[in-house]
Amino acid sequence: MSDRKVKVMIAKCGCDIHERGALTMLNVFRDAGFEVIYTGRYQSEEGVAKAAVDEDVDIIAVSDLSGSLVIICRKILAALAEMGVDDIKMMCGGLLSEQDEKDLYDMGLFAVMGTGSPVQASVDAIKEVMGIE
Amino acid sequence: MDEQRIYGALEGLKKKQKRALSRAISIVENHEEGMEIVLDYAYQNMNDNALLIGITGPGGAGKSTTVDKIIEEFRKRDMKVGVMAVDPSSPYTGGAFLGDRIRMFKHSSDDGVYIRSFGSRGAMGGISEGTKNALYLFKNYDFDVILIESLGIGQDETEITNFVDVTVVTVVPGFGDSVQIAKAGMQEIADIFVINKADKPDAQMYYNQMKEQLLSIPEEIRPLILTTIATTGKGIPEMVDALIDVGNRQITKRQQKEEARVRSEIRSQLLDRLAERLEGDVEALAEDVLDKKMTPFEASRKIDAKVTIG
Repeated sequence: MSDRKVKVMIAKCGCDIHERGALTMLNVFRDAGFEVIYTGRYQSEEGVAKAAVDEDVDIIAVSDLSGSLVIICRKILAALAEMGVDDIKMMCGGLLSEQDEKDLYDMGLFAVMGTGSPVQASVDAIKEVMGIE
Repeated sequence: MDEQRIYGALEGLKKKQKRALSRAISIVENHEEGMEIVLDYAYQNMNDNALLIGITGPGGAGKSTTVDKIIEEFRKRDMKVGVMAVDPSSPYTGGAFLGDRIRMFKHSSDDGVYIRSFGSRGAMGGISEGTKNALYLFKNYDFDVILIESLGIGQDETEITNFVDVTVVTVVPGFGDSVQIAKAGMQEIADIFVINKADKPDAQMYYNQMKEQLLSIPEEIRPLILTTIATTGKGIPEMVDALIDVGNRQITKRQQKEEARVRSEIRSQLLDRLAERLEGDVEALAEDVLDKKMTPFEASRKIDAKVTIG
């Protein structure tokens, strides 16, 4: 009897103090039945990537409101690639421009949520990419 | 069964790759088909080199912060550390917020430290089935210390002791008086009591109360009482000294603990299997009990009879 849980790591990197979004999503994801790990603020991209591998998470969800999502996500993806990891999916949410959104999707993120997105949209996106109803 | 996943993890375990440890833990935690193949290998090949430390205590006592600081101290002594951090899963949604890692996140980029978070997934005794099995996997690697931080329920954490060499109970001043300390379980499981947040005004009083409370225990098995301020790291080097010292003495108990553990292991695996097999009967008879056709006691006797024959 498989008892598989979706495991999500919410990550915050760099100098961004705005934590509310991450904390809100912690609760939302937990209530959606996911197992959620939070990195806390001010982490390095390499640390996040390594922790995600140690924890064997399915998804890294990056939260950032300093306008650096593209930079952070690129670095995390690079760190994952360096470790030869290609099965961890990534999404992000926070402050971004239209160009950022395009760049992030081009990088291969499966969901990019701007400010004001309903929380359920993130849950639905995860369920869809994990193939659960 | 996903053969590539199972045998891939098994190969990696043999080569002692960290990535394979992560994967193998997921396999046993998720009860994936084929997990027995991984577990059988892990059980047969585990080593007894690591000092196993269990840290438990009520939520908010500072367990994770303490663990963060003792990882640091062990690293200073050039010891490799594995950490299993267990947090409660929601009994309603099955979701969990595994928050212990936040306090220890700075160790993520250190290759000498491996931290893994676990949801309790319905376990009662402080550590889940998945956690216990994951410990066998941890023991296939070359950790010098394995720390298990378990659920801070406060009253039912006794099971952890059989899986570790040293059990630490973290408490804080103001979390109850000598009556709480006197309750069954607390004293019996602790090898070391750590009074954290020792800069609080009533810490000394709490220390004295606890010390008196423990006087009735013969000196050679009496738990140590240490004080720490985990946020500043005060008392942490002394705590690590004590862990190693007590650990060395406790190793003589490994045999005894193993006997208890093996029994509980077989029992819990068996109960799991039985529960799964008999779930249908439970459901069916529950209906009858609800319809007042029989009592719950009759229902359980009926299922029992079935098991005996089958």
